[in-house]
Amino acid sequence: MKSINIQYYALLREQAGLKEENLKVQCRTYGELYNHLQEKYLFTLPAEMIQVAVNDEFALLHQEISDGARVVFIPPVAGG
Amino acid sequence: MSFEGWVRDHNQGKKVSSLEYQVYEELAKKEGHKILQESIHLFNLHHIVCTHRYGHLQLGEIAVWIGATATHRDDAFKATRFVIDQIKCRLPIWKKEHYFEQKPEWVFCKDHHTHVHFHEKDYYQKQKNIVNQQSLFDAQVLVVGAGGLGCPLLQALTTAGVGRIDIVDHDIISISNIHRQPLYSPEVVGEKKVTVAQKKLAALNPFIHVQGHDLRLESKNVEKLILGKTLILDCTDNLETKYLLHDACFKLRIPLISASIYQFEGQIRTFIPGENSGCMRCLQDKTPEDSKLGNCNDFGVLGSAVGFLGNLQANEAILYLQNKQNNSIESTFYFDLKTLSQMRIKNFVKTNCLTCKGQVDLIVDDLEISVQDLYRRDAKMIDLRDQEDSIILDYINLNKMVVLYCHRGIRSKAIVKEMRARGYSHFYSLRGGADSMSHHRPIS
Ligand SMILES: [Zn+2]
Repeated sequence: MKSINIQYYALLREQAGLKEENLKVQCRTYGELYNHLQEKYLFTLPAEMIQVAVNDEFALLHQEISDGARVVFIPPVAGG
Repeated sequence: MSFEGWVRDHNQGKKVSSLEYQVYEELAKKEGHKILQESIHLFNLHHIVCTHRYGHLQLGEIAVWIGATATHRDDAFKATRFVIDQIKCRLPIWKKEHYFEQKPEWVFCKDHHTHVHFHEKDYYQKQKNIVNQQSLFDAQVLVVGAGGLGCPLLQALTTAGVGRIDIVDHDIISISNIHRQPLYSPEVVGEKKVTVAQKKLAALNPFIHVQGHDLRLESKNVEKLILGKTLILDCTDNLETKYLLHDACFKLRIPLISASIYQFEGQIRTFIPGENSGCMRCLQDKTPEDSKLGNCNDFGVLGSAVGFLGNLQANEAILYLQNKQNNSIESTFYFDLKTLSQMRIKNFVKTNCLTCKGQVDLIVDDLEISVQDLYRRDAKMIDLRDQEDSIILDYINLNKMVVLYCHRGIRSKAIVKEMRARGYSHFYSLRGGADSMSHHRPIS
């Protein structure tokens, strides 16, 4: 089990109904974590449209989750 | 530098058929020479000549001609402008306009140009200690999108003194734009954004050049538009255009600053091809689809929020133009204006990313058709608003072009893409959706 802090932005924040949460997770990668959360919150955006930042750096979805990480899922934003 | 003043076909809403000039010749010549001498003195000219015709002139004829030579072209430009303005105020030349629909009238030339002549250094006086004015004047930027981000950004770059500003936008001003797009007001609803923006900006700063282009950015025109520019500003509102512009900038190695907003959340990033700070394709090869971001719904946007971001983007541009450095090259910045919090995330740089190297194929897309291109075509138009997707199944065997549209053309495009993949090549999506039709009503 790994403890992480997750933050949500834009559309994800609306669909999750929260800005951030602390979770203990068993998933191996950030991609798996997103899929898990997608089921939980019914996120409409597919994983390939999401970017993940770990401890304030962009990371790849197939990277392994590190314990204590601050994870931010960022959907694309297009408005202007 | 030469200037030609032609007889125009309109003035203050009236249709002009011809012009008649009367002159007090002796005084006009004397005063005219004075104006020319003053201009030589003020603008370091080598030489200047000017001729003003009189008598009855027809439409399209030249009434005034000015030619100036100087070491710096900017001096010649300014001198020419100075001379034409002075002629209108000072010379004893009277103009009678003949109209198509009413009696001719004598016009007081002074009314046309109440223009006071200002000096450039006074214009920039309050910023002279914090910017290198010359580096801004030497810059040539292209702003894509004259909407919520574009308006405040354009205003800021114009008044800061960026020397050449080109604007690309294909939109027409609607009443729902005005709350967040401060270059427009209700009386210009229905006019082209680039036309109004160019006029407004040129009036804000007479010392720079602004040029509008009434175009939609597409794979076939993007390279021509960005070529030779110092910096590109992405103020667009859809992912497809953002990625196209991004890819083209990497292909031609032109710096780009991109901003986007979602309600109160904004983001900004600067891309410098060749600088090893990554690109959007480093993390995601595929272009994310606009249709997945939400179906033709407007998310909601506020002038103060998008204005904040547009000004921030302009500020990053101004910093970059002076020192080839700003804050958002290594990291992407996210702002939440509801909580006034900010997040700075270091960009991911993929080794051997083809886009970073400039090996880019711009994606050509023929799923859409514009209102203009539809004109006089035999096409079946299907309104998808308030309809299920399955309505299109009634048209799969139709022997003519079928054009689908929804509010903004995002949902309809996704459906067309699916139908093309299934082999139905007669389906098209209306570019810009029903919104694009509102000012071009009459289509079949
Ligand atoms: Zn890259």
